[in-house]
Amino acid sequence: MERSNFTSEIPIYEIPGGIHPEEHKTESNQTAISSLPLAKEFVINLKAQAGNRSAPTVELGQSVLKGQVIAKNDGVFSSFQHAPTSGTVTAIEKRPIAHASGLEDLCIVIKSDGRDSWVKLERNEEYKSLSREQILARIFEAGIVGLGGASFPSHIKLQRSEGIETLIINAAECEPYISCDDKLIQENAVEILKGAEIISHLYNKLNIIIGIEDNKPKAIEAIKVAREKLKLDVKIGVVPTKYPSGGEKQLIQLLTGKEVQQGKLPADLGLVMHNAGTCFAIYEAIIDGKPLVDRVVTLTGNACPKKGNYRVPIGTPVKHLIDSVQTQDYQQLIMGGPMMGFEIHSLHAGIVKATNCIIMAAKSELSQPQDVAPCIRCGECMIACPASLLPQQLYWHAKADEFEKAEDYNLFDCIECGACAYVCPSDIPLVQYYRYAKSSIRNNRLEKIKADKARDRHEARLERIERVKREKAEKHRKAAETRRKAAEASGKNDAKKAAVEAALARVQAKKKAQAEQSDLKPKQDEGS
Amino acid sequence: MDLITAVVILAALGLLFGAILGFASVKFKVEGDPIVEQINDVLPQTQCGQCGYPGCKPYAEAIANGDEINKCPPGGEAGVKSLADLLGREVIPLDEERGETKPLTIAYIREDECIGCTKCIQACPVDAILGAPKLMHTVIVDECTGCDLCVEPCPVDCIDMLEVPQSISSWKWQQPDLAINIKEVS
Repeated sequence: MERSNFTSEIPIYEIPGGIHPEEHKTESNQTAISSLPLAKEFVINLKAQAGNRSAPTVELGQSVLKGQVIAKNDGVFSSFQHAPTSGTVTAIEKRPIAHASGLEDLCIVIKSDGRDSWVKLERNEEYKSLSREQILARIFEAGIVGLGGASFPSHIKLQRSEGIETLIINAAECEPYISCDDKLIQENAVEILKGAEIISHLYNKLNIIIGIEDNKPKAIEAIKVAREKLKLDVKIGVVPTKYPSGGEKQLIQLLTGKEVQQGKLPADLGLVMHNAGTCFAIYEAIIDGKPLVDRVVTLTGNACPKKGNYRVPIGTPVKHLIDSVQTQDYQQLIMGGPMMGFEIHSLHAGIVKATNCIIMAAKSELSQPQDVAPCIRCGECMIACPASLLPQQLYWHAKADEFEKAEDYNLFDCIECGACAYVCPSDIPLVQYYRYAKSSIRNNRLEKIKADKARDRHEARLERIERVKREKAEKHRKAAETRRKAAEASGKNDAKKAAVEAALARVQAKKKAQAEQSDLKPKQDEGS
Repeated sequence: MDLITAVVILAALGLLFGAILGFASVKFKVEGDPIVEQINDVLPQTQCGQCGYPGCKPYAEAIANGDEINKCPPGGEAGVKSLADLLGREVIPLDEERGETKPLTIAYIREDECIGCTKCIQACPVDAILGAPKLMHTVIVDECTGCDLCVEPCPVDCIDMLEVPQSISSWKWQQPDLAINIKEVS
């Protein structure tokens, strides 16, 4: 593939490991970004972002306009969702979603009216007059999440303001097949840089670096033109094409030579990183007032006759996309790239904000799971690991469900890039073992939290039962004492005797009644 | 003279250290038996009583006193393994008499049929059932541990134990069988 001869404007450092798979990008990056016919129905997944599920704000049968809020955040760690087109809400129910599990989750279904008419948008060229909080609120309300793949709500990433000095725009796009960021930069470099300028403004000016692989010469050219036009000080860091140089930690290491330590964030190094697509979305949200309702998706693979990049509304069902490009027989349908993507289980699932690519793979295009041979301890995986981990050790421990030991070998530093599985001569699906171990550990942690709560509730219950018993005994003792005193005061022996007898009779009657009602009584007593 | 000095110094040191130890034993007094707490931490806190003890903590105490570690079906094989690791004992198979490990279930009351007898409320070890005499009861799903203890006391049999449907947050990757690989560059 063509390489840029542009020399990087900042020194480039080395990262450990990495692989060079076939790139397959030229198939999809030769044509301009175009649109597909509008789908009839849109399925918007409310749990598509990292964090809490959004809460629907529309009712069944309600008509909505494109860009109208249909679900709002649940807490800060959540996001807004907007109608991707105008139409009617036909269902708010569990539908299959674009997720590796193939499970169902709550979705809002919108039937398109075909007009695609927008709500009234408020343009705002003068964003510099807004306060930091106002801009962050707009980014939040526009439903912007990281478009590089993790869907982390952007307003949270932008929240921390102290000590940030540098913005890195992640335009590396290192995974094979995917070319959506490449094309977006070629066509919208000005807007992306303006988006970066907005982020920079939030921090009262940052140094801006754009990290890009040398297999995108046209995009690099476009950035050069755009920054001259905007007179913006942007350094272009051209990194050699190697997977996974686009991982957040990897790109930071390539561009600054610094490692993000375990348990630390890029912000601790004074850095904040956003994907090029996210910068574009921030530009649209602040300047045009447009919420995030569509994104560029690469449709590619040998079974896709019209390979290219398309601007697709969020929620468009996968089936509509593959029908629109008139795909022939595909053998596998992958959402995301070939390294970190997952097989799509339901064609009716709508695309989400993180969907950067759909690969319609022809027969034997992507290699199928092989017969797994035993590990020969060759160490290739260790050489390929970009996080300098010991993949073999992790493999043994994950395989044996020894999760604690796997954690001791820093399992959670694994970025699940799949380089280890790619180089393994025994075809061991290493990364799948790590995913299994990681998700099991996360599940166990959740269960532990639940168990702790159950223990507290059980102990509180035992304590309450004990307390009620004690209070009741105390009450009886006091009543008996009062009666005794009253009898003594009356002074007459006969009267006293009669009183004692009467009291005994009452106590016995009460005990009998209690025995019948057993434990119910304590609850009532407790309130009194 | 030397002898007396030595005795005095030793006695003084003895007193000093005695005082420090005495103070430490009061200041850093350990409430309860720490090993029981550690065992209790490993147990799943279902409070189901399948082990034969009235709750997880009594079983934890029993284990600390030498009872077998394989009597907890909700904890399963993994539970036995962690207990064995904790206590340095042998991993043994689950005691089948105590029941089998089942997927987590949650109690649901068929509310139309509930007569409001409160029997299930009294049976629930974690206070996860809400209701009042002669009024309908309902289960607080998030708090239910799936212990089954409410099912038996119900005089009208209106409680079902239903399996918890898998959700995105509880889903986990299976042991691998699907690999997406691509060809080496030539």
